[in-house]
Amino acid sequence: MNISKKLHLIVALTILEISITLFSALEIAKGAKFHQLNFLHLKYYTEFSDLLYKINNGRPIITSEIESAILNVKQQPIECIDEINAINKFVMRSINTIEALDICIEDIKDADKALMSLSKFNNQEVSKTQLLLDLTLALEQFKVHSEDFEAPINKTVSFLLTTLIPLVILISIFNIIFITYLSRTISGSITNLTALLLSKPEGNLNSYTNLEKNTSGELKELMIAAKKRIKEELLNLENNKELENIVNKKTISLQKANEELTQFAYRTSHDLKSPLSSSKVLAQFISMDIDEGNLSEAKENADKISKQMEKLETLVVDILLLAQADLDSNEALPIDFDQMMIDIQERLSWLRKDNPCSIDINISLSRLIASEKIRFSQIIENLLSNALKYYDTDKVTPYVKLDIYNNEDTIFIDISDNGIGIPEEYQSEVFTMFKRFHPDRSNGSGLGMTIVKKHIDYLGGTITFESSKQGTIFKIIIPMDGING
Amino acid sequence: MDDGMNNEIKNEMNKKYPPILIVDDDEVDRYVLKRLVKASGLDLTIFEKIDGKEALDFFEDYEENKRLHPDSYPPILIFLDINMPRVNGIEFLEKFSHLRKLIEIDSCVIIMFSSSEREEDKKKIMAYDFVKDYVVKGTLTAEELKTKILAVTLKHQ
Repeated sequence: MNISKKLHLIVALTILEISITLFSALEIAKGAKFHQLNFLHLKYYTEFSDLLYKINNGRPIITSEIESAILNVKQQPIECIDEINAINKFVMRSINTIEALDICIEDIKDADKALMSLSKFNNQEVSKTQLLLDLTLALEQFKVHSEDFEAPINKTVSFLLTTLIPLVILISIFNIIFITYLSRTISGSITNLTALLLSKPEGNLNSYTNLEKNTSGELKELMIAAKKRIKEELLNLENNKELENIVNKKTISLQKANEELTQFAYRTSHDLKSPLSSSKVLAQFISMDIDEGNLSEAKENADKISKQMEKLETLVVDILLLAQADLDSNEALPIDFDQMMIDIQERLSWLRKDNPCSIDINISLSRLIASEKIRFSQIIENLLSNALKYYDTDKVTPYVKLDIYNNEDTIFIDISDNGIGIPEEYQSEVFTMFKRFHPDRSNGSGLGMTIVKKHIDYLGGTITFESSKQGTIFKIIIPMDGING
Repeated sequence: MDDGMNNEIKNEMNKKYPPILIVDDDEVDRYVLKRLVKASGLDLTIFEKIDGKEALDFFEDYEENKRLHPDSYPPILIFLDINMPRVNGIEFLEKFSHLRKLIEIDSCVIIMFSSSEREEDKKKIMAYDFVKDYVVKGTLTAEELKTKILAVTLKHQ
């Protein structure tokens, strides 16, 4: 039962209690009224009796005087009948005191008979003697009625007193007990709920389930609403934490990017400056060599300057490629991988001079690949050129093998070689910019693998490798949906 | 420094062909430095290593190299580049400072030779007491080089 129903019940019980108490009071008061009426009845009977005594002793008959006396006597039974309602009748019938009502009716009838006789006497239909006889008879009856009336009324009143007062007391006691019980259950529920809401949630809301089972009605609704609210608050808190995490992660990644950028700016400016300052000094040397007539040294130095310029050119080109790798170009065109490989090998022809490596290319694509050709081309060219640069002079048949193939949703590019491998201690830095691990073997910009990684990241793919002194294999996986978008 | 003094030192050094080590991944930079040494008139034994790793190996194989170069090992001065593959100049310095405690190279000092002019690196590098100077590539003349080499090697002897 919910609280509002309990409160309604309390109100109804209270109204019932008050009604019964009032009813009892009125009924008991009515008993007193009957006694009063009977007293009046006796009084008017005495007046009527006096008048009749005087007439018998020679007082002349005044009809109106007699009629008034009779009507006075008749008035009390009439009022008595008016007072008695249906409930009184039911009660009186139940306790066999209904005769009081019959007495009233009889009394009225006797009064009417007396009045009738008086009226007949007026019309001279009966004699004075007859009239006096009738009136005396009526008077007798009035007296009997008054005497008889007292007993049933006393019985009724005492019945009411002995039933209604204990009833009222019983109902009052019941009300006190029941209302106390109801208010206790209400305050108990509220105390429980308050305790619940004051208690700290233990990580989750499961601990509330028991209390929720123990509450009902409006409190249960309040409970559910509070729980919902707490859940939302917790969710907000969680969301805030999540946001904080995201911000932290972003901050860290921004800091990292910033550091990378600083490092990049420093290294590029350094690497751009380095060949320029060398060339400046070399030019001074050439001038000195010419002055000294040392032309062969001058020529060698001129060649050195030329190489420095080539180095500078490579670096500038790589920096541009790296910058472009970050840009969206959105030119998804069908790629002719066979032609791409011919172009790449042509560009790497300078590396293949005096290079004993065999190159084995297998392209087996079941469908047309439409993507940004330049990214694929740079990935393959960088890896292929590394494989060629770092071949192992100790191996009898150095080789580079390239496989390009696909399945339903992925493109695979595997480049393997039996070259000198990447020293184990440097394998974690393969994709770090400006890292080179074989200073005696090449003089690249140190940006090649960084460019490769950027393109693969852009295409949503992954690159992994295994390397030992037996050789190296790079495995690239690029999802189709990464390239067709 | 007057000529008399200079000659004296030169004679002294000529007798011993003091050994120096150039650590630089750039062949041209090594050439430039070698030529400047030559132009300075100092007669030195010059070792060359192409990065910090090779240079560390050169010191770690102490006994072997001592045997191979009985008169000129270990070098008394290192010209050290900063940006190099594998082990760069800064990493080299850290490992070298440990090595100095283990083998008889505590008289070997270093002059940085780099095109980098980054202040934070410079501060870190100059904190090592065995790093005696910091020379920016492309700014050094033969005369200056001579003065610097003499300054550090003389203090030493």
